[in-house]
Amino acid sequence: MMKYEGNVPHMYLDTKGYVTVGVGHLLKDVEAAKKVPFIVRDTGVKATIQQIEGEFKSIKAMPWGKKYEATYYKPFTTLVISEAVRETQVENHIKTFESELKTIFGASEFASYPDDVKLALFDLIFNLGMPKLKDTFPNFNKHMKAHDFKKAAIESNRKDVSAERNTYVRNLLANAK
Amino acid sequence: MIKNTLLLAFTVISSTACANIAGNEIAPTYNLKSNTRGLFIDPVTSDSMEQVNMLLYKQWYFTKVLTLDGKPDMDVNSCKTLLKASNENYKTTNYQAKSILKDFKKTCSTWRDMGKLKPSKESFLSSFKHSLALPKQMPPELSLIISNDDERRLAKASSWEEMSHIKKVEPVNEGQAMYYDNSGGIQRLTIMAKGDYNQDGIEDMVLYMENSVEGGDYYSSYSYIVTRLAADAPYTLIKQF
Repeated sequence: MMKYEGNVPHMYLDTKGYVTVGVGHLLKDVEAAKKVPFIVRDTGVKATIQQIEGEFKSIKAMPWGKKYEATYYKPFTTLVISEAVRETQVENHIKTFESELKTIFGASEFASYPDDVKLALFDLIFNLGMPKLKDTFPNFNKHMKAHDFKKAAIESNRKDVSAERNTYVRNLLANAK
Repeated sequence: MIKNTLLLAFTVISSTACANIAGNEIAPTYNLKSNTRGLFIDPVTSDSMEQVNMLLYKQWYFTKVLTLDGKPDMDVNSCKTLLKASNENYKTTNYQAKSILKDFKKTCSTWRDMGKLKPSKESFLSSFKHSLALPKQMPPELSLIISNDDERRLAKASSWEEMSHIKKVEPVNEGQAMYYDNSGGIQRLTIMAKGDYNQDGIEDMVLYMENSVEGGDYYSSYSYIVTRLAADAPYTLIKQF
């Protein structure tokens, strides 16, 4: 996740214009931001609710898109989150992804998959989100439900995703035992 | 005598007709401001042909260092240096930088083609409007295509709507809108320019599409040049890159 999403301690806008922090942790609104334990970068002091609200609003008002790397927003921020908070966020993301994968494939079915297959599915859902994986990969899902991981490997290909990332997932599926 | 008079009359009418056409030419228009922020320290402040042609040389506010085995590293900080590095197979090993530079390359190529737009004699684009009706008129290539299944459906589809089933459109500004499909696809469509690209006298339109998904980090971008050959005709794809 960190390799593909980055690990950013300050608020930034993702490619959809959502305020985000850490390893792709989306802050849906200002209330969600207030629940995150931000600290002031320069002093290490816990940020106040007003500081979080102010920074959220100023970042939200900025331009966004692929041209705006997370570092673009850094000079406009004063608040950060610690490495430990980011790691907790990642663990929570993984739990959410697991729950979504169980929804798509069935809890017992998912549990029966080899570890490499689970890893491949984690990458796919992290990249595609649940709706796209569920609705626009019908042949992939059909092969998964049939435990035909070699055919699923072929159908796991994603257009405009790097060859390296596609190969990583394809190999996990094709070589699963 | 009669023959000469007729020839003179024909010449005058012909010249007048040409003058009228020249006088009615539609100059290319550009929308640079919304697509250039984020790259330059000094923002692009005018939407002119001169600015389009300067964009390829204008220095970005940041520099990416690309490498090639056995060669000195190359600093990439403009479209010109990016296209040069790309032609010489310079690369970056950083996953995110790779993805960003791929997107920049498409943007640079789009600006290069925008600089080639000529005045048009005729246009059927005046009724263009961001709306739920637009995906029904646009070619299927504008849809968000990710899976092999999407690719197979694309081969048979006749419109963007047929591929994506757009359920909501949100205008961002005059030239830009967000399109949401019924399976988590989020597309941002921007009108970049209008002008005659293929020199058939009919005005064409340069579009830029950024694709992302709900709940995932997927991203892709494409530029399209489309046209409309009659007021009620669907849009036709001239080029995709």
